[in-house]
Amino acid sequence: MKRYTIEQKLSASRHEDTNDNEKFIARTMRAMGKAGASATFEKVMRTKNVTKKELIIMKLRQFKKRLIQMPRYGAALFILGVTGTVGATAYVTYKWINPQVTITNIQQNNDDDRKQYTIDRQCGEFYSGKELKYELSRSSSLTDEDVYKVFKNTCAYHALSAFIESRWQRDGEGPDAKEGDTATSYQYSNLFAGSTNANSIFGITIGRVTGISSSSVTLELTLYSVANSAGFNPEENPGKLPYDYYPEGKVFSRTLPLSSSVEVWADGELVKLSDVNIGDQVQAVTRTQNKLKYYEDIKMLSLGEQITFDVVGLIKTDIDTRYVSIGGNSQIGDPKIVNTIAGLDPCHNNPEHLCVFAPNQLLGPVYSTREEFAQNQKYLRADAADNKKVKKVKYYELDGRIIKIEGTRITIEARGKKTLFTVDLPYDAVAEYNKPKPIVTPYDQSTSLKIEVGDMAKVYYSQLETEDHLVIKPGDLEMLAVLEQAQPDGTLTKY
Amino acid sequence: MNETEIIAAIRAGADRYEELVRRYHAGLIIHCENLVGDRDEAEDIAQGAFVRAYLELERFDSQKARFSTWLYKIATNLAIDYLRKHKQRLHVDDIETFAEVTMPAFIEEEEKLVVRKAVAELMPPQYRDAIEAYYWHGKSYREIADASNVPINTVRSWIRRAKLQLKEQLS
Repeated sequence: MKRYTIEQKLSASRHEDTNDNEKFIARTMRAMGKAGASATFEKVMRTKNVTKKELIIMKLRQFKKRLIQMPRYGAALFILGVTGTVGATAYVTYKWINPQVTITNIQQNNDDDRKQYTIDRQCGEFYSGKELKYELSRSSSLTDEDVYKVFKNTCAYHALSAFIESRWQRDGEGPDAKEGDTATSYQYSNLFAGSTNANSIFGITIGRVTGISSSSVTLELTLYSVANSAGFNPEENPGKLPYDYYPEGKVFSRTLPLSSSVEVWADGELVKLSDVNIGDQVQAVTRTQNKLKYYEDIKMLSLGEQITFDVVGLIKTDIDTRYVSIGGNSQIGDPKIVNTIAGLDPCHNNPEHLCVFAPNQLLGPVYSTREEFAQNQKYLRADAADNKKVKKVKYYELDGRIIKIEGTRITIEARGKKTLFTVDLPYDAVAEYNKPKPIVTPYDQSTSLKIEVGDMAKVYYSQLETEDHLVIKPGDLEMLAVLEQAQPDGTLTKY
Repeated sequence: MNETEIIAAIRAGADRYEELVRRYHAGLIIHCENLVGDRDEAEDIAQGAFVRAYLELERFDSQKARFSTWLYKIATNLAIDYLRKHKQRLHVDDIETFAEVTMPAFIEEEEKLVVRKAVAELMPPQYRDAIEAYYWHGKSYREIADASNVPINTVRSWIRRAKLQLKEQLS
């Protein structure tokens, strides 16, 4: 009779209902799925009688085709830029690139006769001087009219319209704006939670100094566009939002005490109110203290050329619930990462939090340090630890950015800069837990959605995985890089 | 459903491979860990063995061997590849001999009950918990140590002493 070891007996005596090592099982099943897919890949190669490289090229062409087709669905691109940071204050601008607005996930809510909608948005890195591109898409089942009807009622529509009409083609923004220009616009809005509501605000203007006294400066301001809130009259509602009161195009004066926190820019420089002269063309910039207060501050913002916001403290991001907000103890030169995830509106739910919106976009959160970011990504990292045995590490360079593919993790980092930051996206773990998945979009192609050799690619988290949205799966990214390597011009180099 | 039926169903296209993974993962990880001496590598190798077995399932002949024997053999080969690749000084013959020690046993239900009873009676209770966690739940020493809030060497001692107790009881 064969004698068994204790180990063998113990293994063989395992209960059927024993708690399993679920992580291992999940990991194994996932690996099996990938292996199955890889086997399919090999099968296609055999069936089509092509080499792996040829198949990769075929796949890439399909991918490019999807990219090129994207405008058909109404892609809208923004370029956002951080033009500077002063202390804990960040100056943000954007460019509206493609004058076509799209909205995703529009749903009718008959109960209150309002259109409820959300706008999907992606994240990006965020630091001084950086331009951020945002991309919106919508369900192809919606007609342009559907989109228009809903979007028309939002303040973003007005802001964008004005922006498109007059300003966006200008070179330079902000301090060099001149009287009569519409200017960089921002909104502090509960845009994403529903239709226009009392929090919606925008309205940008350029001021002209019309009066100076020993204690104040008077600016003549033109409000070129406002968001509506039916039936609101600020005279009957003192202290409330004034935007209904001021119709589009209204010219009015605002006298600012010299002690005002409003900053004024003239000829591209920050000047003191006490130093301006009558006739100077200036921009009024509202500097808020601590936090945006709904009434006074918003009113000031509506008069300001450019919002300057003070960061009031880091608001932790709850990725599970897709809460996103902006904050952080930002310092000059700090690397900042903006990680925008579609979902609920933190301003709406946390009115004390400072949130800054560009049209259709929500920025945030800003993490002060890499560690902050890492802390917020902790649970993802913990999951990714399952995949810690990395078999392959590949590096690719895309326009000065390094894409590192390390097992199931993609890392993107800047290169050749003192301030270098890395965004770790353990996408595999994300996928497993139904978290947003990363997508890659071209970065610096302001007018084209094609990915070409040398284009910067960005990886975002996104909940979108519709056909009319660009989702490059991890394999796609790798294939893309492989193909780029195969290009004879050597624009992309592996190192 | 027995193992043969599960395998037949998988071959027919059913998505049931996970049942086999659940059935054998704990023992296979331990088997690999015994071979390569590293828990993390062992999990990778075990995973690789499951994947390879899945991809090669068409070639599996139940007339020649049980699935578990076949699976453990794949894992053993992968472990040998690993050791060769990492130039560890172990003779392959030794490994294969050693592998036999942890290959799955096929014992009768009655004997399983005896083993389970012996485990349940282990004293102190930490021994029992450690044995169950390691051999039946697929936990690593590190995980058991963390869960019990003791040093990892303590867990090693528990399991070593528990096996001595079991050996005495079951002999």
